[in-house]
Amino acid sequence: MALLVVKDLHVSYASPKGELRAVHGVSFDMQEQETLGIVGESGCGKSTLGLALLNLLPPQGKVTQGKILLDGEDILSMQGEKLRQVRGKMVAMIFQDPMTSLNPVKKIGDHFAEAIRAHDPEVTKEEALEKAGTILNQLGISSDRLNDYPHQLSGGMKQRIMIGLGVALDPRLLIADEPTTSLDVVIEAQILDLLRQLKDSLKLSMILITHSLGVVAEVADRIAIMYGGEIFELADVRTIFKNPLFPYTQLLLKLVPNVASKSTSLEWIPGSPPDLSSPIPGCKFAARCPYVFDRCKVDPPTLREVRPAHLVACHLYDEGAK
Amino acid sequence: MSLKSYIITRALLTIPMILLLATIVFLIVRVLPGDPALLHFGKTVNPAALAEVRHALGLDLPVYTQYFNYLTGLFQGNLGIAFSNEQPVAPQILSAFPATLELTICSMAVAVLVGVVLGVRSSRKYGSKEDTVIRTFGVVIYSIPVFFSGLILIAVFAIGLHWLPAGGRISTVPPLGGSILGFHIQTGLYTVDSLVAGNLPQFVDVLRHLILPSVALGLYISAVFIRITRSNMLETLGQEYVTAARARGLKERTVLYNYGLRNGLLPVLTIMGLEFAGLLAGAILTETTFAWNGLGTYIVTAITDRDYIAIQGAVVFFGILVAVVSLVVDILYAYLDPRIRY
Repeated sequence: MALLVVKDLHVSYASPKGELRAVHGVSFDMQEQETLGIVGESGCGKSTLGLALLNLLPPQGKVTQGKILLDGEDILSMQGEKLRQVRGKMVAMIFQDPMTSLNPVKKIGDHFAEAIRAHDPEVTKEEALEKAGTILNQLGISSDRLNDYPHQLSGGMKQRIMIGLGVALDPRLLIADEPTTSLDVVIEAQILDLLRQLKDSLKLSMILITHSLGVVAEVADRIAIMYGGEIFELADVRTIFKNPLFPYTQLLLKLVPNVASKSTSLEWIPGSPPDLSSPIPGCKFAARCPYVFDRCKVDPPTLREVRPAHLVACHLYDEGAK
Repeated sequence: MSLKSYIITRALLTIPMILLLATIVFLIVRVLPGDPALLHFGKTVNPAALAEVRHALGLDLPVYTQYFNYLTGLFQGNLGIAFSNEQPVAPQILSAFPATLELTICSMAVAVLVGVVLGVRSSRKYGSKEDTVIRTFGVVIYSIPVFFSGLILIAVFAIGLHWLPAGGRISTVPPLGGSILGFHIQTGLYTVDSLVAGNLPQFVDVLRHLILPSVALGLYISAVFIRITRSNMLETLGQEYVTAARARGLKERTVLYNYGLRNGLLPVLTIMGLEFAGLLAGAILTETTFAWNGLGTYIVTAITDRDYIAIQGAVVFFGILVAVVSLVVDILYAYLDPRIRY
């Protein structure tokens, strides 16, 4: 059985301009110990998707349609104590900005003790701290740091602490929402390396949300390309990089700067992401697509398997297109 | 820097603060038009007698000598001799102070309790009808002056319903240092004194007298706390560490208290320190309304009598009080927020 099944998920935010459809009909599933990379530009709904997976949307956000099944159980219908036990224990999440993800008035050790004891009240604080010390050592941080406050640590160290907190309860699934975006490249490489190690040693399944294809290339098994709240292409890493089908994916891959090239300017995709507060009749990427044709503007494409294990939502690959 | 050295540094900083305050008060009294010595005379002034009074008050000395004498006196706890009753000011202030302190503490308790409870409630129900009602309540009570709300409270609960006394601190006033019904004045805080004496009926009587003035003053100040608590809680509960805490599956209570309140109430503590000064000012009006024999009443009398020395003494005393309270607040803040210490 798949570890995680997301079926036709729709998430909307209430905004002054009306309903903002952040996630629009997203479906995918994940196997045990798989790492799925979700790639897309800012505002494409990838972080919203991550929060929805923990049923942790902000008050303005609402799942309007769809199902999220974790081990066959619907997370969206869970409430109160049951939901609390899933969060952290079954599915853990680490966030984009390690600087603001830790409680400034609590010591690092207290963060661990709190989390461990919230799920197993029989563990004493001393035992929890001991476990936390072991985890920190595995992450390359001295266990003395348990007595430090968050402001005494560097950004990279804080992100490692966040990862440590994420894996402290041996979750089945770890959702990492842009875990390296606010870090410099050296630290980014260290953190990605750490995630890869943990994935293997703890047999974790992982969802890595990022805007960088370079990041997912290093860690993920499969990649989902998101645009305007929808998944447009889903395939394994090799296929996405070798043989991308969706025009947006092709353009994204061209954007990765090449040091060897003689070009002095950076590539970009003309246009801007769609305004999600007003309905778009056809394909969301049509306005920026170099291969756009009439059907794209009226008929939204659906995600389907055009080649074995390679899903694309694009009319270019329809039978008898053009 | 450790907490200990922070406290020492912060405490030492209070000394120049108080010195500056004392200097300003000294200068203001000297700069004000009119000769304080003239207050000792009626319509006709005998120049020889005036010179004599000026000499007795030390007003004929050069200003810097006066200033030096004033400061030396201050450090010895000597605030001068009041014009009106020719008694030393310091003991008068000290005997009036417990009444004001008792009122201030109770009002602060009412203000913080009402303000924080309603503020948290308002932030939890952000955007709802309840939120609007609480915010409106805050604006309305803040726009009613204390002497007016005090009079209304007296009219309703004392005169109309006869539930509570209309004024005063106690039904039968015990003499200073003496005792009535086994009630002995030691601290001047009647609640403490009656409890120490084990005199429960007297304690209840004192509490009943405290309710109306504390509510009048406390509700007024609580408006500030409602606002501050609400906006800070909203900000804190929107922080990523709160979302991250929920994502770790912490109990909602833990998230609300250890993450929300613990961070959201830090600024409220600062406001508490600042509002303490506001409470002292408010106490002047409240004490007059409720015939409360404290520092407020003392100052009002001193102003009516144009008793410069008494006013100067009371202002310096208030200033020292506010400085000490802000010292305590800062130390508490450093204890609660580890980031301050570095």
